[in-house]
Amino acid sequence: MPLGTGPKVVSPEPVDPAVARMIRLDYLLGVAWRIEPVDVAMITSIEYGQMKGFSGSFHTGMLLSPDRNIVRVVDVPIGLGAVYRHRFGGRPLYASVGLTAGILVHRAGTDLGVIRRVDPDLRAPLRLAWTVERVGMSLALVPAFSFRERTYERRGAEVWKHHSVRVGLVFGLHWDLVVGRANRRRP
Amino acid sequence: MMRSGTTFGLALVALTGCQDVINLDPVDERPVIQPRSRPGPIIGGTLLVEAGLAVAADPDRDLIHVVDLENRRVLHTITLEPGDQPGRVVRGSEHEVHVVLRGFGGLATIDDQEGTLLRRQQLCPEPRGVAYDDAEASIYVTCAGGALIELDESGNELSRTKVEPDLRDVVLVDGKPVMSKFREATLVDEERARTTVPQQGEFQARVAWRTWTVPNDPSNAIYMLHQLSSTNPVPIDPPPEEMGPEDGDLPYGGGGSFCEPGISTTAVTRFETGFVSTTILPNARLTVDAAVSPDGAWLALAMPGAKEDQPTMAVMPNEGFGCFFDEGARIGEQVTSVGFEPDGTLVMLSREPARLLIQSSVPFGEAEAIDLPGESVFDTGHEIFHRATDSGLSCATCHPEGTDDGHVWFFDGLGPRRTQPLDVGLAGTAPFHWDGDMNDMTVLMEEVLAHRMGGMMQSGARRESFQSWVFAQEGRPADDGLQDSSLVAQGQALFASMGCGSCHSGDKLGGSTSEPIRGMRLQVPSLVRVSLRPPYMHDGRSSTLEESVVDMIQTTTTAEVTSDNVTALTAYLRTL
Repeated sequence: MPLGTGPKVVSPEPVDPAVARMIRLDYLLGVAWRIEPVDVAMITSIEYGQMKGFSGSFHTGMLLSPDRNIVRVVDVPIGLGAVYRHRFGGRPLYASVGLTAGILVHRAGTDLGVIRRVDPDLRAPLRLAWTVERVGMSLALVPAFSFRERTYERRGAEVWKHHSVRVGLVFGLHWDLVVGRANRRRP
Repeated sequence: MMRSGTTFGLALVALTGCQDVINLDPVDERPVIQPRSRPGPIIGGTLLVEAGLAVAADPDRDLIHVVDLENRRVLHTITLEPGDQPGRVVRGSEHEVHVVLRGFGGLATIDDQEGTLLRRQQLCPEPRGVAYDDAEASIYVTCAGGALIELDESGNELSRTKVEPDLRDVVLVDGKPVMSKFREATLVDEERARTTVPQQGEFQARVAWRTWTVPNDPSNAIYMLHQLSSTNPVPIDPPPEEMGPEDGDLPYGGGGSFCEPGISTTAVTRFETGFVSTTILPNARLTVDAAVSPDGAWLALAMPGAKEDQPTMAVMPNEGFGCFFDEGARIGEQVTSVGFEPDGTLVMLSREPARLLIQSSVPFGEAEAIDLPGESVFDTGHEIFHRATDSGLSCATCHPEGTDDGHVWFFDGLGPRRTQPLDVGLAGTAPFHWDGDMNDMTVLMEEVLAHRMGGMMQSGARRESFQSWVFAQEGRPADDGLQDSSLVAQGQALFASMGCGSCHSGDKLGGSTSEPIRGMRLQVPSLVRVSLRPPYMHDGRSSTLEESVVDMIQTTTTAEVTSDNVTALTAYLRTL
């Protein structure tokens, strides 16, 4: 009995996403186009709700502007919203679409000191997620709109400019922290 | 709830498309300093250096100092009248030293041994240069209006020759006076024969700050310290992609980096018989005086327009490479004049603080300072006007001595524009620039000084100090008494009858209105001191006053152009 014997391992009962609830945490890294230039985007979000169906979502992150010679910019989007998640057939592949509203905190280090601005920020993330057990990978396209176009000028010349529209493409991992059967809905 | 939601929605809609433009130009907020008597523009070259002795004229404080260089002490300080503005200094016979008094309009003669003022006589509205002829014991004085005046040692006028307007220095070559013209940077003799500085690539010679000879130089060479101004197109509003992020990338063509000439730079030209050579000095900023060491090996420069954290003097080899390193040189003084003792000791005059600096060993060596009497004349407006910006340019680069460089710049998208003079009394003449595109001095300082030249934005109080200093610049009429008075009266009558005064109106004879001319709307220039500043018109199309008068008669009147009319009108204009 080289492998020995032991208690019988029982496979966990598969979760039915239609009735399962979860808390999902994710970390995503990618880029965000603001027409020009392309920023480095780091996004983290937490979602609470149905695995298949609606979830509430809170997100934050960082957008790092690459040209840091004169203006060293970090934008921090923070927002709340809702996500609708759909499962493709029986595969652990989900697509989701969301809508969040929040703020975009702009912070720029310059020779004149730190400049801060806060703008309203809307996002509509589209995400593909592949989940095995409680860990998965996500690929998301995140169009967003922060209302104000921002320009830094030096001696009459534009040295930094970002459009109010941005489109992020991010890839990362997610963890479903809690997965359990949802309470039975009342008829 | 409904109402607040609507308000929030409307606010968001209003925000959409908003531009948030953040200006990163630093603002100079340092407090304003203005002395009781505000100093005039820097003229440079107010120092006479001999063996063991220096006579230093201080135009900011109306003082003349006699300094014992050997014992490092001030022997005498002669106080002149307020506003005398002593300038060029020359040794006469024995103990007499002659000093041009630009503000007074004459010449002072002092006894440097006794420290007394012997004589003070009026000669012309704006005397500039002085030379002493040992052989004839006579004094030559050049006047801005174009007169060369010869005096005997007692101050009696021997002759008054009409040469050309805008004379600057006078030197003697084989006993004959040779004069420089300030804006044109040419040499001219009594017969009006001219010697010009050859075009240097894209640069044209302008602004002859100082012209001098070296004693006992067998080549009889004449040296001229002058500016070189670009004839290439100058960008004023380049698109962002043509403007790099670096400080040197400025609309006015950059410059300011080591050994990189901007649109205007400094040069020294050496004139010998049949031979002219020019050394370009790309990193010399607003250089107003220069001297060659007795052995001819070294060239010393006074650069009072250098940035505050950079030295305002430099010593470099007299010939060859035109760029110099100034690391280790003394910082803190504003050197306006330089000279060498016969043993090669370099002597420098600083205007603020008032000091003589003595450097026994050149090019390297410590300079000793001798404090000169007189209170501080630091003036914020004066400082902003003269100090170099990141481009290496200062206001005084194109407006030397608070006036103009006589250059026609070719601005991208605008065309040729002749630099406008500032010494006509600019108060009340806004908008500024030929096209009237600068509504006031604030706009002008932000757009030209900060954006195009790379200077700092200025606080409101500092802008006010700058404006009041610039507005105070008013030169005297350029009349050297050389015009026929009946012709002048005839010209004045023609000026009125032809209606010239309808545009050239007011006490400045122009400067306060815009008029349509040749399909453009242009500022009417003031005619104050007009004879000093050819070429004429906004684009410099008329190289002489006569040509400009013909042009104006043909363009703006129906009067007939006759040579008599032109002669009379120009005679009148030369008295303004």
